[in-house]
Amino acid sequence: MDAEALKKLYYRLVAPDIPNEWDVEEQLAAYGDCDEATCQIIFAQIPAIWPVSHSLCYNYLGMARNALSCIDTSQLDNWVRGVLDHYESGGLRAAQTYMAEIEANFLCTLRGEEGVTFAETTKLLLPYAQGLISPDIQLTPGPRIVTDTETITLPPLIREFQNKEDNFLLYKLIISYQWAFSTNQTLTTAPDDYRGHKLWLSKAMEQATAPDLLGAIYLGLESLRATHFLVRELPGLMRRCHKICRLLQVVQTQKSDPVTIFFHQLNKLILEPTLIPQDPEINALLTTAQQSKSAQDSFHQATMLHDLFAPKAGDHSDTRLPLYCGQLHLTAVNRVRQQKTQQLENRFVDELASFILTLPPGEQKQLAEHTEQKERISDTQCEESDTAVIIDQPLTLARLEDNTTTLFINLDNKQIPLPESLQERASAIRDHLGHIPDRYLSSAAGRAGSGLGRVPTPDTHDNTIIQAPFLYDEWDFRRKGFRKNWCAVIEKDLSPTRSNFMATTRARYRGQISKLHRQFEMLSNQERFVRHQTDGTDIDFDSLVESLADSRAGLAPSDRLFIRLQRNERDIAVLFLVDLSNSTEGWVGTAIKEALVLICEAMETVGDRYGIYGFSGMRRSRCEIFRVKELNEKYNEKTQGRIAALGPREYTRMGPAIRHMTHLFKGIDARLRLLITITDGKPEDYDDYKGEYAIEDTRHALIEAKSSGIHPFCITIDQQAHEYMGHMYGKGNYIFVNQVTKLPARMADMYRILTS
Amino acid sequence: MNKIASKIRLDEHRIICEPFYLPLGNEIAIASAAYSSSLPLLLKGPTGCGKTRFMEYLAWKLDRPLVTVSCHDDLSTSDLVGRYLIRSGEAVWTDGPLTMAVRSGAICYLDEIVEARKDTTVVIHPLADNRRELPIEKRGELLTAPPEFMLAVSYNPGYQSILKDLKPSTRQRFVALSFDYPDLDREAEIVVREGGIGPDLATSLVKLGRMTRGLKESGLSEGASTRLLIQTGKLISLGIPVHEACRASITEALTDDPELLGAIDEMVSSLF
Ligand SMILES: Nc1ncnc2c1ncn2[C@@H]1O[C@H](COP(=O)(O)OP(=O)(O)OP(=O)(O)O)[C@@H](O)[C@H]1O
Ligand SMILES: [Mg+2]
Repeated sequence: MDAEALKKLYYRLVAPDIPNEWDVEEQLAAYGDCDEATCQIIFAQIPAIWPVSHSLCYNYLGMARNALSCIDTSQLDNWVRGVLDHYESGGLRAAQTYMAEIEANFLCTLRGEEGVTFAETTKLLLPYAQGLISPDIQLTPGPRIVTDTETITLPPLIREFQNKEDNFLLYKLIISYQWAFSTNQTLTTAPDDYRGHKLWLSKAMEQATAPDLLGAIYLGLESLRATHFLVRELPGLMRRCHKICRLLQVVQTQKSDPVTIFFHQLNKLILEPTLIPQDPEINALLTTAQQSKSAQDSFHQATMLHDLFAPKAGDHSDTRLPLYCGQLHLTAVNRVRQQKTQQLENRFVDELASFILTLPPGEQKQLAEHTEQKERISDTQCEESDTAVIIDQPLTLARLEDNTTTLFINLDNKQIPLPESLQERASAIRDHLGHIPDRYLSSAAGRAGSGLGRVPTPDTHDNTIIQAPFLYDEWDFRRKGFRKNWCAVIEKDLSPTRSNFMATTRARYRGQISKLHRQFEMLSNQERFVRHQTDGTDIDFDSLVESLADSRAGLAPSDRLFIRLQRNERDIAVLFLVDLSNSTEGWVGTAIKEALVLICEAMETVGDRYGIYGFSGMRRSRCEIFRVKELNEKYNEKTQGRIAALGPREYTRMGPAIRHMTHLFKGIDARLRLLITITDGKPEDYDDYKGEYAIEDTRHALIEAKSSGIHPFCITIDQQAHEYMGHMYGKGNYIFVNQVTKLPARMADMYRILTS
Repeated sequence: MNKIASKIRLDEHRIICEPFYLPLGNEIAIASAAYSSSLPLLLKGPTGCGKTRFMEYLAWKLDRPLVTVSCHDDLSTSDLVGRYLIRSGEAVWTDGPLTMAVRSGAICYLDEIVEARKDTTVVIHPLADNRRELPIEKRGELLTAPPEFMLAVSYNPGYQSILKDLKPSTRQRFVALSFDYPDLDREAEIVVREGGIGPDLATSLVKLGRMTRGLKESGLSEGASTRLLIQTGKLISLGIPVHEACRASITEALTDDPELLGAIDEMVSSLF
């Protein structure tokens, strides 16, 4: 097809967008010699890909011809769907990998060889790993099977075996070995060096003449120990894995240097620990190794074997272990350990400092004076010597003798127990380091001291009340940790507009509204009877008897003799969080607003307390929350005017908005606290708050909400449901609606289920 | 006559046989010390971890009757304190469980106190602080608790906190015992005793329980409690195959979420 025709076709397919001509020409250059039929087939996919991502579309064009050389044109549809799925779940990179490995990712499934991908199994594997190893462990796909103790890297695809079950089993086996390593402290042990000093594993390894060899032997011995451990602990798994383990036999090269032979035997033993090695010498070596009881022990053994083998090791000695044992990555382990120490210190110091600030001012002052004095003295002292002089340490941590684990701070002979959260932090530090360094205490006291007497100064430039932004952490799934105080949330007022929006909406949905009224009335009727009322629908027999008896006994009888249907005391508080991002521009935005009107009507009928907040913003420094209706505010012209004033604004940074709602809920006492988000689904901000990052942060914010007793729920207004909604909210915790008319039915059902 | 009636009723609350209770720390010593110092007890801990059982044991050990009230949101003050009833045309005062316990120096255990409404729980405030008094308004009576009386309340901190509802003066008088699931060996021992199964199987069940308790991040609000493990043990001892028993009384009891169901199934198939 000639270039002009191609270009024309292209522009037609991506309309109304008008992409840059150079880009287009560059992409189309490869199609100059392509026949028209093929071009048509390939280009037919553009309208599906272009709106999702332009770069993905260009990538696709680069790959598609190549793809058609190995798949049938009729399969292109399917393949593109796969590409888009991968883009949705893993971003551009994932889609690129998928496209590049057409053989592995697409064709072999067609042929019936069923590999299993990380993406499809992670939903099952992650909870499995979290249950076994630790609730914080994370999984990620990557080229090597390694761990830094926080994240386990797993192969993106396993297709060692013909069928899916076996491949999945191998994933499970890998994780189970990692569990064994973690329980056995394979990576976290601190072996003694020759002087009897404790060293972290990486340091200890470095001292060997052949660190890599030592590492390999150590991992081999630990894998052997792990195998014994797993046979004991997870007999079901090991029974099932027996078959696949044998298939995983490492094929050793023909070379026969002693190291290779040793590893060959070691491998066999890991795969089948009951085997007895034929070579008597190796058998002897491995029998002692088999008796290793701890990581320290294994390290010791490994050092001896290293000393024995290092001189004999050839350049090409094969030290591979079975695939599922993974590899060592001690620098990563170190990094995590250091981060963790730092994090523990920071949190503890922060929290202790703010705790000190809550003490009565008298005690605080004493503490501050002590600290200042101490600082002054130690400042001068430090110039002369390196050793700190401890003078009358005012703040010490003590544990009461009688076995309770409660920690106290000793302050001028008074013992003040630390609050629970600090106790927990302290014991986490003790678990990690073995003790709580004194430095932590003095820096907390110092920080609290400098916080004393700080008077908030009003902003002088401006007469309006400057409201301090609320700061929230943000979850970074890549580092499995929070970015501290990352987002600034500001609450803003929304001025009501006068328009006929209310009137038209009400008129248009008259039928739905009256249906909602009926349904929600029934909901509030479902309520239980309350006893001891001054009036009501029926006589409370118990109260009547009691009051008769009271009057017989000469007491004033109670007049609370009735049973009444409880309506107003449902004790439910609901906050609606409305997405005002510009992706809601168009019918979605209108639908959201209209839905809000219906929702308010329903809420007014049922009588539960509810608040409405909109959110949008741009970048982490400006997340905006718009007050539409506060929880205790009436639903009146003003609030209605604010609903009418809602409109698409900027971006959707969902996490901080949810965290702010969680924060607002803190001051609300209710039996049931519901947070209902109304959105078009995708969390996204101007910066890199996108894709998986945004979804994971949102999911995490929702988990935080749940753990503070809030029940999150989501109403998505969109053409179709998206898979990630389930991931963020949990199955059954969201509904999706593509027409406002369908909302009442779904909403009434949902609300009934949620609140009863 | 009143005295006798309440004596008969109280005798039902006496625990005659030693209940099986495996101590987890020095909770027995602490609770006994609280008892002899006339301090009320606060038990926190997740569901099914042995709080109720501990109270039964304590009552037996101290040789006091144990009056347990399971709190719910319809519980009224009269339900706790007592009310007049008419017997053969005569108004007769009947002590509620709390009054009964105070009068006769029993242990009154308010289980799941958070479930009760606040206007109900106010009656325990003067009992819990150093006054140790129970006002019976209808009778114009003010009972002072004898030294043998003990008040104990329990709640599950994962869900709500009672502490914020208490005045600091009251709060600080409670001796708080924090319960959690026992360590592996001890929990297995409990499952052996109560579930009627062998130690190996019990240990594996406990391991399963502990794995499910690690699923918080994945969205499971509570893992399998000791009680659930015991139940599973009972099913198994009655001949139900292990996998089915786990499925029925652990996996399905904990969640509806298909991914979590799958993950717990994988744990079961790894363990057994
Ligand atoms: N330390 C223990 N010694 C003996 N049995 C125990 C122990 N801990 C738990 N159990 C067993 O677990 C079962 C459940 O414990 P219990 O009923 O005391 O839980 P609970 O903490 O009161 O739970 P809930 O908060 O749901 O009322 C008991 O019936 C008992 O069989
Ligand atoms: Mg109980």
